[in-house]
Amino acid sequence: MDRVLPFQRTALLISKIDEFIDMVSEAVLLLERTVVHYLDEGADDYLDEKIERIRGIEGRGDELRRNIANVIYAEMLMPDTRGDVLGLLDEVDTILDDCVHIVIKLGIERPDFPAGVNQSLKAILSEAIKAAQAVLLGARAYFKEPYAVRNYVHKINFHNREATAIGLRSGRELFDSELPLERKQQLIGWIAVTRGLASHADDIGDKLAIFAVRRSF
Amino acid sequence: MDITVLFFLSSGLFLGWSLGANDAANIFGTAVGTRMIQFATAAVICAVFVVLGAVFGGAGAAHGLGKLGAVNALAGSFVVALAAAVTVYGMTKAGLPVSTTQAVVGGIIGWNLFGGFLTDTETLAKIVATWVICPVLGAIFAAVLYKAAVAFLHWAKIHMVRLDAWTRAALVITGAFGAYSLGANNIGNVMGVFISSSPFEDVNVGDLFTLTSVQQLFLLGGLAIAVGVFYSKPVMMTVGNSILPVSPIGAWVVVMSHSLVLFIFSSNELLSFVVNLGLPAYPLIPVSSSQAVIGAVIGIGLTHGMAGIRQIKWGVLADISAGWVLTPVIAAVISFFSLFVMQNVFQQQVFQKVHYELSGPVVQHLADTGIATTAFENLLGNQIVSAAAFRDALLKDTELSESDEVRVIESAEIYRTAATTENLASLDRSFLGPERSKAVEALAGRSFNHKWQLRKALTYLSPAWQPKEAAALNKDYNTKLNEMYEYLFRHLHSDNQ
Repeated sequence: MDRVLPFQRTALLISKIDEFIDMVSEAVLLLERTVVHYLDEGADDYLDEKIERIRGIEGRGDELRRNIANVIYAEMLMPDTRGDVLGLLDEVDTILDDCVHIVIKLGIERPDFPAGVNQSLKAILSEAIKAAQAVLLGARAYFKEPYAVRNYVHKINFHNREATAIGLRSGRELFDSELPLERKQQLIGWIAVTRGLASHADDIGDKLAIFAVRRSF
Repeated sequence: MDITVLFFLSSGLFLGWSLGANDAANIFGTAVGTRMIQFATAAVICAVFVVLGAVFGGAGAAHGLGKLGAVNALAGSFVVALAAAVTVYGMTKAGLPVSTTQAVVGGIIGWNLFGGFLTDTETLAKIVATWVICPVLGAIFAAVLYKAAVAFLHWAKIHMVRLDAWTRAALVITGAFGAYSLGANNIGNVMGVFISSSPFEDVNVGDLFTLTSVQQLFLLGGLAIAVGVFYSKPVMMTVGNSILPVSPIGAWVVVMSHSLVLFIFSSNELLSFVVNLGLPAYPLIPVSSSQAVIGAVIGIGLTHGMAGIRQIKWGVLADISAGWVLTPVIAAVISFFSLFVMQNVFQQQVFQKVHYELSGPVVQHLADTGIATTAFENLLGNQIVSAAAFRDALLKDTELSESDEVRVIESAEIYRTAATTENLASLDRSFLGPERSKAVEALAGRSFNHKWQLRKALTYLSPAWQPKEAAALNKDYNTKLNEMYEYLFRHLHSDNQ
């Protein structure tokens, strides 16, 4: 870490953790905007620009996360909870990875979504984004109000269930349609990938709940 | 410089080392156990502040000899200190936090048994009481303070990283104060008995200040405690995480609660202050730092209900409790047998015989205080050596209440004092105050066979020597007055028997 006064180190580390979570939150919001724009307007320069932007955030996020880990270990901070803290940051980082994965996949495949699937994907994406945002709010709460984490975990569970229900329904509708099998396979994959963000957020929520319980005073 | 004194001083230094090795855990055990502070860092902070406390805060002990003052021969003090030190060393090797003071008391009990001196049952009762009362008080204080701390933290919503930094700082600051108190409060026990035979002379450090011979002696004792601190890791780990995993906040609560228990329940000054405010008096009780800390750790566990109770390692607690009980016992046994060796193998005087006599003036004094003396007329004029033998003779034909028995024995004890020119010239007038010093000077040329005679003469000369009524408000005053009397008895003591 840069040479700073002892009392400044604490504020600096806190700001780095906040900055990291902010980056992931920005990536999640960009993901939503990018996918919705694609579903409405199709592939254009906007898609390519957003893909690069999200990838840039991912690179900076990884570097920041490593820096935070170095500081925590070098200064021997939070000896009883640093494993959970770094574990939480690693889990939050996987959301960032998911965002990059989805937009890159979109950029490569540039699929053609029928109207019904388009609407379903928007609905699933909306629930998945809410679940991801709830993870980030829960992560922030973990650092200051661990007892409030439970509220966010509840929301994560809810949005995941909603995303799963919509995914199941739209999957059945898709396979009941007259579309060719290969298109059905491709489109069901997109439903799964989008729903996967919510499912992944739910897994992180379970771990976050355990971290919060362990973080007793 | 008398080489014998230096040799005898070695047991005091060993006792200091043992104190540091065991008691440092009470201050930094939880901080090191929770890995908030590295052991090396804790040891350095503890060592520095222990020395500062011993030298600058131990001034109050300059006239007290600590517990070892009960031993009336230097070789005896050496053996008692050695027995206590060996006992505490053994417990430290086993990683058990024990009371060094109780080890010293155990050693003194061994000396009492060897020399035929009486052991005050109140002393034994106090030791047993601390085994129960101290941990209970520590637990109560810790539980309340912990609940309050958690409630505050829930309300304050402090960021985890910032809380970690503040907790670490709080542990360091609290630990530093605790180490200062450890040095200040215990240096009297470690070095007090050697003050009168200190090999040091006052040293002037330029025009800045003077390091008195007592301070140099306390510096030596403080350094011994400081060195012992670096060997305290096993006991620190026992206190810190072998009984119950404690959080960093819990670590701080443990140190604070144990300090509060010690301060509140052993401070005459605080009690007087509270009573002066019109608040009800509370009882002062004997407290042990080691036992209060263990109670505090348990108290935190109990705040978590059954989950906390399940986490407490009751086996470790049982070992620690056994250590508390065994410490004074082992010290007494080692002391007893070592005294035998010191006396018979090394031909050293381990105790000075104390004579008791129911002389005419003693009988009159007892009659004046309301004790009938007709029952032990057969003892009149007989000098009996040893308190045990005197009591046996006393109780052979009579029955006395415990308080009357104590008064008779104390009154009959022959303890010669003489207000010689030499004694009066070296009197510490700043300690006694001008009015009391003047009364002592008025005794020039006089000598007394019993302590009560000296007391009587002084109270006649000045009301400043008169103790106040036995009430909570006066406890502090009477304790300090008693310290002055004890100092005067030693200072004017004449060896002519």
